[in-house]
Amino acid sequence: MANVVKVDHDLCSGTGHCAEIAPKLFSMSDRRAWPEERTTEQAEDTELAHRAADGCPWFAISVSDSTDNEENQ
Amino acid sequence: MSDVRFRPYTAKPAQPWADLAADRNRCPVAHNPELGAVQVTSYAGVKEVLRDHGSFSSTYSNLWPLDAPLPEYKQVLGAADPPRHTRQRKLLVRAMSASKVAAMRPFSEKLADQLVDDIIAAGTRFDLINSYARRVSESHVAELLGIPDEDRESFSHMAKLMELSVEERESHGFSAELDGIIARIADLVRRRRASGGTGDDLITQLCLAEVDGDQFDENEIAALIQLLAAAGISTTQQAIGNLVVALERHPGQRDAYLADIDGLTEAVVDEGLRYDGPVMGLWRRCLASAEVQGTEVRAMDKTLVVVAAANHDPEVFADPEEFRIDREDAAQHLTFGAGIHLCVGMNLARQEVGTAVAALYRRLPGLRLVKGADEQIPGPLVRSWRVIEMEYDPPAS
Repeated sequence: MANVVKVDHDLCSGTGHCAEIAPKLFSMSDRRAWPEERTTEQAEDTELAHRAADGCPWFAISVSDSTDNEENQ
Repeated sequence: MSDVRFRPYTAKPAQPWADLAADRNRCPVAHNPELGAVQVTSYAGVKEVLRDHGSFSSTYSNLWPLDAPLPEYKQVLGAADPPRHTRQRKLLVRAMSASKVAAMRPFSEKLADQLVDDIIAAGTRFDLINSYARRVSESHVAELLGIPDEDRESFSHMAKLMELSVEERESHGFSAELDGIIARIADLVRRRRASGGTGDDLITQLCLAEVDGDQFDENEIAALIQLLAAAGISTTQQAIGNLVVALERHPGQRDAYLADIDGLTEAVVDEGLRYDGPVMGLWRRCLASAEVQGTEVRAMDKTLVVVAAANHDPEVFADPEEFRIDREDAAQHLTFGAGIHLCVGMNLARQEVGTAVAALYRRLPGLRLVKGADEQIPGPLVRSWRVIEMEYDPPAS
């Protein structure tokens, strides 16, 4: 199942935790984190995205089932 | 007989780096008899402990290590574990995020300018700590939290008491007074709630915040406000002082900075926080036996992560004992911690220190130390000079 990964740039303070935990899903630029891809298809990537979200000290990362986000598709 | 050289309560040197390096080289995870605790001195070890909040609890106080957890209402933020910590931190992140703090930049710049005006009006000699750095940090905390003018003195006094507390191995005389201050802040919370406050300051937001329709316990909110204010006032003041002393002791680096203040302030702040940040160490308590860099830490061991040692670990930073403002990796320092407790005030702190130091060097020609800052506040938690006497060239008349 595809999941949408988002970084809220009002909250992100560029600590880089996500890029350290999941370098293939996040990159750092301009003192902010950016999702490499907006959606994750594979279960292991989704698991990794959740770990990055749980570890973010600014609660800036959200991972949601793409069916919850149809308005964004 | 122990070989551990770090003795922060009884013999804290102004320059601890050689002792910390010797301890790290000998064993980065080692028992320190003076602390009655395990000390962790490598970058990897410090990061590992800070990220393992499941094994290493923060609830046994962050000022001195207790034998039992703090009473629940005092388990706030840096002294709380999840899920309590998560619930509290979520109340703060939006008000203290990078984008929100950036919107406060005009306030920071104007304040620094006004405080430099005050220094100039008072003559060509001043104590950097009390005449400038402390006023920078107190004014920012008051602005962010929305501390009423009539309460500012008491918040300042409270921060002083907490600073004095960390010099000791236990609470000694200040606990009752600090508890009294929490009770007075709880009164402020009740009054703010009763008036249905509408301000967008952080105290009002915290007073009115709800989780699942319930407001937070007023004592918990009071303890949270106390910790935020004290941490914000003390650490930033110390960071400004430590950075200016580092610049003054490295004239080549200072001159390079003076040549491009706008372009280099961010880098100077990062290197200042790495080279001599205000946080020397942080307390944790190991709840269940854990491994740190392959060494066992036993259940119930008190643990001090020595952040200052981690920031000088040659495994991560080349020539760590050199203050160099052109380092590309200075921001990797652990002065703001790591993991879920990463300093929630980090964005504000960086902005405060940057604007304050930039204004000082931009406006006071020939700024220099009158005599070396040489007295450090004792204890394992802070790096801070008691007094930093400075002077500058009088303006040509």
